[in-house]
Amino acid sequence: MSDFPEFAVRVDQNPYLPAGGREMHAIVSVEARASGGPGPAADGGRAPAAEIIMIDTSGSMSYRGKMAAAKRAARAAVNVLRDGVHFAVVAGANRPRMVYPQGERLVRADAASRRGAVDAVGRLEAAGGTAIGSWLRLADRLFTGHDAVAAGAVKHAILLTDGKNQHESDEELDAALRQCTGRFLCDARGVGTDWNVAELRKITSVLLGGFLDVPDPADLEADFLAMTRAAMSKQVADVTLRVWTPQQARLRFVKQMVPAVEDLTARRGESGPQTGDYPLGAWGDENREYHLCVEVQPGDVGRQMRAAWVKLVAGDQVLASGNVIAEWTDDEARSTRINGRVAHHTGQSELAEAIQQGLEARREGDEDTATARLGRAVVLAREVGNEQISSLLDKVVDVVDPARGTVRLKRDVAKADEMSLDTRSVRTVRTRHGDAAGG
Amino acid sequence: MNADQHTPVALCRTCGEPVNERDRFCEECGRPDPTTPRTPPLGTALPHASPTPASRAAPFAPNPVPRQREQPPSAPQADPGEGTAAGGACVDCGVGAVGADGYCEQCGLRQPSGREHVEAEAGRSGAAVSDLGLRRSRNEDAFALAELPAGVCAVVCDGVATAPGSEEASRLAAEAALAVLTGRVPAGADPRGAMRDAAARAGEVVAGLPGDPDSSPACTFVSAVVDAGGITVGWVGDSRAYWLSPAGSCRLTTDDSWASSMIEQGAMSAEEAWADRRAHVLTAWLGADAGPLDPHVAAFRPTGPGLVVLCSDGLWNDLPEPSDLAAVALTGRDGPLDAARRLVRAALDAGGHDNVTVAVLRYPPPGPSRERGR
Ligand SMILES: [Zn+2]
Ligand SMILES: [Zn+2]
Repeated sequence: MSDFPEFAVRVDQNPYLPAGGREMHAIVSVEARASGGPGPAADGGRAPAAEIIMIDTSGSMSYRGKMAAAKRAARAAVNVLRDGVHFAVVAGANRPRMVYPQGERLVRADAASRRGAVDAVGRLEAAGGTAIGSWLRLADRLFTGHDAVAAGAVKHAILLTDGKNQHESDEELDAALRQCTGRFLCDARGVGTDWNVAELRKITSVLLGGFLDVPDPADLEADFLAMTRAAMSKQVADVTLRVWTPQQARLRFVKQMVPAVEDLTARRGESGPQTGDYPLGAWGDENREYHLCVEVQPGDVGRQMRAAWVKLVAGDQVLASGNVIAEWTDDEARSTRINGRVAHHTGQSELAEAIQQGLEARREGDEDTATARLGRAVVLAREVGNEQISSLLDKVVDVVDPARGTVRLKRDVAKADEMSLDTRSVRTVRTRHGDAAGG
Repeated sequence: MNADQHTPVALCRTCGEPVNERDRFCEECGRPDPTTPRTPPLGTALPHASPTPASRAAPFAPNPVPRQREQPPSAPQADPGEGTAAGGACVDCGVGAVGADGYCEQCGLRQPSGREHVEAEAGRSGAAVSDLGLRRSRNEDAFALAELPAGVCAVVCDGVATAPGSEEASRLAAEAALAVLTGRVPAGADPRGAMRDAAARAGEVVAGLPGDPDSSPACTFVSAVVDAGGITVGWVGDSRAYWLSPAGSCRLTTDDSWASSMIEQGAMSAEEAWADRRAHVLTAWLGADAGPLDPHVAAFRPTGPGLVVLCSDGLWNDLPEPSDLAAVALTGRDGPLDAARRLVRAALDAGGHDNVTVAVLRYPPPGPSRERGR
């Protein structure tokens, strides 16, 4: 068993509610620092890990250098697997196929197995279709076989695809996702412009991972390296956000806000009286932020209530905890103040929503809605200081008045730009704690 | 403070309408303390006492320092007629257990700490009352007082509400200063020197408390020693001492505050300074971030009998003039506890926006109080 990193929880909120006030918002920031000190030297702190690299080898991968780039990326990922990690490389088409090792199992990483995997990846050829659900099911079988060897390992998969899930039904994919939920984590990358943003969003959301577009195949190698290193650096396999709320209170939502917007509300599993658990996956040397909204029964002016008690839990160990407080006051100066970080994250949630709704309307030919929603997104992106999104929006709309959100839809928009905006709509910019006083 | 919908209902003694036990005012006729007899017999029910047994048991104990939450809630002298469920159940929902941090595990409401209302007497020579007020969730004021062989001494501290841990800071500061005064003065030390040492010790204790470097626990400080030789007061911050007497009343301290220093420098008129939103910003306090401590000490020898009043700004905000305080405190020929209660009541009636703490000390001290009682 590895040593857990040191977790710290910080709650940002304006705890004051007016008389009769019910709705309390708070930003819960969770920071973990390696117990052995930061940096790659702290090897002892890492949890045992299992890694599966799934490469799309459908026929379309042979165009525009995608296959060659995918091979380079997979080799790079294999080469940074540290000794002792159990791994496999899988090729995906109409069916999944073991690339390395030969049988349906994971193999322990060492100099020889890494070399073997690199050689096998070099022989990959593109042919056939795309059936992602079947690839995920194979990954699940491999991880399950490995559980007997190393329970409590961080189980992580990387999925690369360049196309839509055309060779199985949506129901088949959904069934595969249901089966894999909670079994392993999966990050995904879409290369080229023929894959489906909503599909990868669904897959990685269910499997507690992230996804990105990689418009230029040349960038794939660096991206795979970063993903594999991040997976290797995880120190706790399964972290849970446990939230207690008072009786008669209602937890309206729990959203991850950093590194990306992800609504966790529906993932609640009841875990005790007035207590629900939200699975967060594996955790390394990293920070994440969550936005909670609780509706409580109003107390009298002058009274204080614990509106939520937030704990980070691994197994039966509480890693850190924090309180969301509500205090009723008749001092308007206090109750009307808006916490800067709550405002910032509220803006980022709305931004992601505005972009997704705007692009959806644009695809459906509803230009009025598309113009209104993307115009709103222009305003919000400026407000929250998300420059990447601002520049992506510039490729989809002509901004007439950035302050008011007056925009015109561009006639010709590159598919890659639209996909990039859609994919990155949920990527947020961090707030510094010092920003709390600001807007 | 109208807090508990769930506490047993009683009837208002004036109009007979149902009121909650802990209501400070009858909603029907407006009578303060509607379930309490108008002049509470000393030593029995206290007006608007906190519902936790711990504080009930405390008021007339020899050590006047308010008790802490950590103490077992079932103190032996607990009043059986109390509206509180025994064994640490929530006073609000009546069902949930109360966690170590004071919140109900079921309804989430923070439970009274025992400092909501605290009273204490030092023989016949002094008394003090501290009250949460009507608008705050915790009482960050604290007091300590004790009889001396030839007099009485008291300390009042007001925790800085914006700094976490100030509730603890004020309590520990008052205790530490009192220990110095009760050790030094009877041993023959000059009260002025003892006062400086007491403030310094209180400052050390507060500065040593763990806290966020950006906002360490902090409190103000005012103390007095009253004996046949006169009155000695010491202070840091904006808690005040007053002299109240039928022959004339005055303030004995000057605030370490922004408004006070503006007025003193002649930079602003008193009206302008007090109207500024920075008026109450402290220029000196006890705390790790306070810098070198330089307590003010002053001594007086009144020409006739009167009362020394130490108070937090919860009192003087509403009653700033010595004559206002005298009008409340000097009515009636009762003891210091009654005077202190009247002053606190006056602050609550004026809005009770802040914690209120008042210590009242008699001058000259009424001689050895062996016989105790009235
Ligand atoms: Zn009445
Ligand atoms: Zn309760």
